[in-house]
Amino acid sequence: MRKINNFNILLYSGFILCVLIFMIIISGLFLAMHYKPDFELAFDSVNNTIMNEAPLGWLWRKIHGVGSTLAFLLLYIHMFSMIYLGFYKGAKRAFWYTGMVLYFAFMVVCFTGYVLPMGQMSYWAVQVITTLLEYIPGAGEDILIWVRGDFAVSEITLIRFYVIHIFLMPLVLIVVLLFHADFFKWFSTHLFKFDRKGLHVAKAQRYAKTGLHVEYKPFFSNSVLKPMLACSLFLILFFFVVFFHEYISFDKLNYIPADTNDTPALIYPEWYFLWMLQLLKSFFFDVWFIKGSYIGMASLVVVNFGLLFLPLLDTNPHKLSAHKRRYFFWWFWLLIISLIVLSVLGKLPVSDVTLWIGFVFSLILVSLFVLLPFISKNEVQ
Amino acid sequence: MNNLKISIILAVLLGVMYAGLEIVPSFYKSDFSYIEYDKKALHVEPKVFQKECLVCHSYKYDDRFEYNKEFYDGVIKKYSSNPPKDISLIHKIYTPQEFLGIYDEAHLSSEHLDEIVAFLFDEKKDDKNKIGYFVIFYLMIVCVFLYLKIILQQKN
Repeated sequence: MRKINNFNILLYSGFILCVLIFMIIISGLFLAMHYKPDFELAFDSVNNTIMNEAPLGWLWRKIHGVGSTLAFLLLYIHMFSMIYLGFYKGAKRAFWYTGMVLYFAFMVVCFTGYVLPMGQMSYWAVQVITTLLEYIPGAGEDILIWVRGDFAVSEITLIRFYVIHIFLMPLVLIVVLLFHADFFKWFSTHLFKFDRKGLHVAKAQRYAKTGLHVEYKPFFSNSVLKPMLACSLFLILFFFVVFFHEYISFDKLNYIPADTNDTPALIYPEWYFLWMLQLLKSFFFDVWFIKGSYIGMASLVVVNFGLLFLPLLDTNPHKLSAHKRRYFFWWFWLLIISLIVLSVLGKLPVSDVTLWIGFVFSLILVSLFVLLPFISKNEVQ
Repeated sequence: MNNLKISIILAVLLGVMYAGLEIVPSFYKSDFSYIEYDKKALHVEPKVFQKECLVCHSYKYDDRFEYNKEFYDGVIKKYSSNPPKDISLIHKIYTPQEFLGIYDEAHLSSEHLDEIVAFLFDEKKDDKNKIGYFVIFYLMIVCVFLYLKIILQQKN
């Protein structure tokens, strides 16, 4: 079997992600035709109308649900591989910032979408997670009521989450995605500029001006066929999960209608939010007059803003992969390990052991971002 | 780094994630027991029903229903790949007494109960699987054609 040259699966994760988001949007359109944003009717419209009565409704829902789970998986792979390769520095900075905006927008989309089926887990997850807004110092309670639209999670909350999920955030996602993929520049300068062999004329001219000898590659096989192959390989996995193992993204507690009087024994969000939940739970004791929950909230802000402003925190000017850097390599793997450990702990019932392990790894995670400027400065010296 | 290395690293990370999120929590038993909860709430001897049909028991004595762990694992998890209608429809189709009667008369094991649920709620199962096999087969053919096309272009 012949090997394909220059085929790196990590470099196509962004393209696959775009295809997946497109599929999620299309399936969401069909779901919106049958969904009823009503506190009483939502559960039945999802579990009965969409799953049983609407033609291929079950397929759209599975694609939508599994798509969001796998999109988050790919998003994490894409994000951390870019951190590993150092593709967030210099000219790539703009891509990093737009990418992080996409990441936050996608988090909001997934969270608001999780609420819509109005099962037990949906209801109680939104109840718990919106309560976290209370910990914003100063105006926490007012913000909480403003977000919910009511004093508790109610139909008003459901409708506004529905609007955010199907209109506001997808709009933000699509617009920012166009900038992130450098679509406008690509469209204006590159499209339809190929010679007879399919070689990129604009690129060749640009290289010719610099006087350097650069081997440029045929556009069609490199920029169309190879991503398509990577995408098709991924879609095999995707549809295998969609048709035969889709329960990984549908919590079984969500097959029970929401009951405002019956709290489930263990409430947890989807797997991609677990590390954040554990980060909030980990600071379980007060320090002097500061409540533990406030410290948890502050650490969550530090980590998320740390990711957002990574190009500023990493002061090493050289664009190098992590394995070519002395300390950053360890920084990266410590980050991955602590995120995985916190995610696992987030799903376990609270006990003394899990709390202390969570505390240690939360401390490591926060200190990683605090120490990054010093680490990268030391590397340069 | 070549693709093999990357794939191995990703597979290990995903394996660790999966083991952590799916296997480790199964070793932890939740403190919350529906049976204990029922004992305290109802003061009724639940032994008769605790392995049989806690759903109907709760429904009969307390006008509400709860699902025990066996019910979840045996029915909902198994058929979530071919999702049932709202599982509480069991109580709409059969009144609790009827359902309990059928259950008692037939001496159904949990496997048979699964079959009933499959019959009631999963009439589309074969169609769904057929579409799944078709889509995956189609994508495999697309992959082979793309691979051949790229290899041919590489030769030229």
